[in-house]
Parts: sequence; structure tokens; C-alpha cells
Amino acid sequence: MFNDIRVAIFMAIREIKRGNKGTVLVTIFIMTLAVLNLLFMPCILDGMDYKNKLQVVDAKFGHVVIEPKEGNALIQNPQSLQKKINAFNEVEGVSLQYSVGATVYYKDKSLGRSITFINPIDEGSVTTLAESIVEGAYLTKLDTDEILIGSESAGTHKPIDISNSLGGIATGDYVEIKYNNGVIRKYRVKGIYKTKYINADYSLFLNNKELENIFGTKDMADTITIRLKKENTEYDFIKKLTYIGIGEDVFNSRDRAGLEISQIFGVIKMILAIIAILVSVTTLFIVIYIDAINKRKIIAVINAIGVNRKIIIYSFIFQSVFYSASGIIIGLLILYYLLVPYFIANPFMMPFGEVSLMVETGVVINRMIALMVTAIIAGFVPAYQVTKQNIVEAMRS
Amino acid sequence: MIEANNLRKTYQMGSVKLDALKDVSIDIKKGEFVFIMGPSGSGKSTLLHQLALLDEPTSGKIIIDGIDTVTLSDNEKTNFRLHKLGYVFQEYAILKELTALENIFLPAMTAGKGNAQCKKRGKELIEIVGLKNRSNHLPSELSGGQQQRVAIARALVNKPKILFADEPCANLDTESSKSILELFVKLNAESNQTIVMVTHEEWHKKYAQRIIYLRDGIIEK
Repeated sequence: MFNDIRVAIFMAIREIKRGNKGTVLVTIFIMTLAVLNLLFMPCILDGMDYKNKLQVVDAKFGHVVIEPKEGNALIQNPQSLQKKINAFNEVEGVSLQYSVGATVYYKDKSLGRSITFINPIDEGSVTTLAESIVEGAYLTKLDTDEILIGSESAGTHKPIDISNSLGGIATGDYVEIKYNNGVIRKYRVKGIYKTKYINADYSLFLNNKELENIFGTKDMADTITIRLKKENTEYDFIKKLTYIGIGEDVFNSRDRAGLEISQIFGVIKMILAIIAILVSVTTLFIVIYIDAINKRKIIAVINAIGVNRKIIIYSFIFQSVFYSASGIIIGLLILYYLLVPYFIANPFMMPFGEVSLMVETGVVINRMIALMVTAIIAGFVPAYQVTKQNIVEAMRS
Repeated sequence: MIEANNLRKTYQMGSVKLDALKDVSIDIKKGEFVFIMGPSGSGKSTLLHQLALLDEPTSGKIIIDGIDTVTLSDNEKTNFRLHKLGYVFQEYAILKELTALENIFLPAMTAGKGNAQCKKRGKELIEIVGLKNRSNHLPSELSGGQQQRVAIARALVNKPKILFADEPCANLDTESSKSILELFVKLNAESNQTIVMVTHEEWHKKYAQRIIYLRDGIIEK
């Protein structure tokens, strides 16, 4: 076995070194493209998925979201629950939110929007809302007649869809809001924010002290958002919350907001991976098959002189593995040293923020292993077919 | 050295059966230089292929060096060919990506010899076939006669019991053919090498010790 491999490597190296240089280079080039094809789009999709979920945490929900149990519109005793949650060591911040639908009027324009009532200090400990102010200032604890407006609703600071906005609000302007219960209030625009997460940038925020003025009570919440001190500790924390029995529904915000898109991306990535692997295996198969067919006669001769079939098959497999490994090395160099730095410097602007490539080592390793396995198959099959032929018939061919 | 009894080789061509060899029996002694001759289609190459274990006879027995080769498996036959038989084919049949020296020692390497031993044996043989100064040349840099000498050296590298040559001069000019035949004679005389060669050239006859004539799959004389 060892000697068979030794002879096979000896033959394969000379075949690659002294064979047709053009064929070798073109095959390696195609394998490099196959590697990039196998990794580039999945890395973009992973980058999008990652950014989307990151924005969900930073701009909207924190790490964990609590919502009323099914059938209820409000969370029971939200302030007491907030205190309980704040007592956990792993919690960075907890914010109570209450959102209502309302109509917002500005000059001759009006829009249906969700108005979210928050404690500005608590909200600042969970999301990046306070840091996302692009004009004016963030709400203070005492503000009740001032409002924060997202850039998509304000229609300023490069909104994605200006037609679906109030047409260009500036700080200091006044908007009028008509709530569903018929109350109408006028607010001065204190700040405009832009998180670059489009779902968040449509919202309008008011101090939850204002709840009392509109609904007669301020202890109201339909969402509790929680930021944890450490990343990727959501599930353990949710287990703890479930254990103490908070009586409401608890979600990992990344899963909740990104599950659907993650699943879609997962399916797309799988389809792309299958296509890319099929392309690479077919390319290698064709190259090796043509080579093997062209060498039918000489393969028969070397088999005749006593070089066993295993050596010949191993030799073809080594060539196939060499093409594949070269493609992988060059492809990964291009990915890590050219494409990743380029897209970090020039990210795509997506509705949920700036997206660059996200290279997950586990995915890269899995795909490269898959590529190597297919390379072995692509080398084996044609070599096996050619070596099983009758020696005399092949020598006469 | 070779004992073949009642060798029969039948090819099925559609619904027609063609007997290429009809109960051929021959006996070749150690150290003999034997030619198999006959007109085209007489079955001389078919006989050589059976004796050289490159093909399987439809029936009959071939005993080489005391071993009944018909009972050997494919792998055993390959191993047997590697260690006990040497081959020279009509079309040189050397690997174009290997140098002359590498082509020569490839079977030795396959037999498990170390790199140094392979090179040493390869160099000995390349000197014997008169290509000492061509050892690092690729086949594309060698003439037809030189390539055939490389093939002969390769056939001898594992010190085979029998050297089989299937029309080794068919693609060579007269001068090259003479030098190849003289090399065979020299190997036979100096090393007592058993050689079985197929040829259809009448002028080759003078180099043979014994000639087996075939006609229509039967030994004529």
C-alpha cells in the first residue's frame, strides 16, 4: 500500500510538472473559481444574516424579548418584572416599551405609524437609539412634549423611500399625533435618528411619562427588551427566566426576528453549495476523464509491465486532489486577502445596515472537505473505468 | 521455462466464432532466443499475449517457471508480470512525462526497490542499451530507436525470467532494427536471457536460435 502510494505520487508529480502546462493552469483556475463560487455568496448571505440579527439586537430588541402571553395585550406588572430581571447579574439593561398605532400629521402630510413609549434612560441601556441621533438630541427623563422620529418617517438623512415619509422634518418642527382612542397631541421634534436598520427607522419614540396623559396610566408595557452583558448567553438566560416563572412569553430576539430570513438564506446557501460542488466535480471529472481516455493505451502498457491498477488509480486521484487543493489555496488567499478586506472597506448598503463578507471558519472547512472528497471521486471514477479495460484491447486502441 | 499445452483462443465476433489459436502446444527452454513468425492474421501476436499473461486463453494450460499461470488471479498475474516477465512493444510505449532513466526504473520502483537502488539499476541498464548520455532526456527528445532501447532497458530492470517482444522493430528503420536485434542477441548470449519475439520480417531470421511458424492459428513448423 505504502509503495503503491509512493509510485503513484511519483507518477502524478511528473505528470503535473511535465504534462500540458495549459491544462494544469486552466484546471487550477476553474477550481479557484469553483472555490470562490462555493464561498463568496454564502459569505455575503452570512454577512447579511449576521448584520440583520446584530441590528435586531442593537437597534430594536436587545438580546431577549418578553411579550404578553398569547391572548393578552399587555404584560402583567411590567415594572415589578423589570426590577426582577434587573436583579440578574448577566443583565446590562431592561427597557419597557408600549407601542400603539397612530396617525402622524406634518404640514399637509399624514402617515399611519407605530408610536413607542419608552423610558429614555432604560432604552439607552438596551439599544443604540441614543447613539443613532443624526440631528437634534435624544430624549431626557423629563421630556413629555418632545418626540424622536426615525429618518425613514422624517424623510431626511437619505431615507430609502422618501415617498413613504413626512417629506422632510427638521428638529424644532412640530408634528400632531392622533391616537386610536381619539386623543390628539402636538409634539416638538427633538431629534431624528437613523440606525440604518430600516425596520427601526420608521418608528417614533415618546417618553413613557406621556402614557399617563394619553391613557391615564404609565405602568403599561407590551414589550420588555433586555440587553445581556455577554453575547451568546441568551439561551441560558431564557432558561433562567423560564425557571423563575415570569408568566409571559420569552424569545431570543435574534431567532425571533431573523429566523425566517436565516432559513431562506440557509436554503439558498445549500442550493448554491450543491451547484458549486457539482460544477467543480464535473470540471475535474471531465479533465481527468479526457486525460485518462487519451492515455488508455499507455495505461494498458504500464499495467502490462506490472504496474498494478491501484497505482494508476491513485495517481489520477492525486492529480485530481492536487488541482482541487491548488484551487482551494488560491481561492482562500483571494477570499481572505482580497475580497474580505475589499468588502470591509466597501460594504454593501442594505436595508438593515452595511454588510460585508462574513467568513465562518467552520463553513469554510466543511465546504473544502466536501470539495476534496468530490475531487477524490472525480479522480477515481474515470481512472477506475480506464484501468478495468482489457489490456490487449486497450493497447490496440 | 515456458510450457504451453493445447492453447486455444476463440474470439466471438457477433454471431461468428473465430479461432485465433487452435490447440497450440509449445515448449521454450531457459536461455533460448525464439522467434514466432507467420503471415498476418496467423495468430503470432495472440500467442505471445497468452504466453506473456496479457490475455487469457479460452482453454489450455501455460506453465511458466513451474507455475500454472492460468489459475492466477488478476492481481497475481500483474505481480507475476512485474517480477518474472519483461515486455517490449511495437510502439515503444514509454511514458512521455518521465525521463529515460525514470521510465527504466519505474517497474523497479513498483516492485518496492528504494530510490537509490532504482537509480543504480536504471543507470546500469541505460549503459547496457547505449544511452548513458541520454538518461535525463524526455522521450520527445529521443529518436524511435533510442525510445525502443529505453523500453528494452525497462523490460530488463527487474531481471525477468523471460523477455517478450512484440514486433519491436516494426516502427524502426533498418539500422535501428539491426541495433535492437543485436542488443537482444547480446543479452541472450551474455546473460542467458530467455527471449520470445514476434516478427514478420524475413531478414530477422538470422538472429533467432529457433523459429516457431504459425499459420491460421496452428504451428506450421
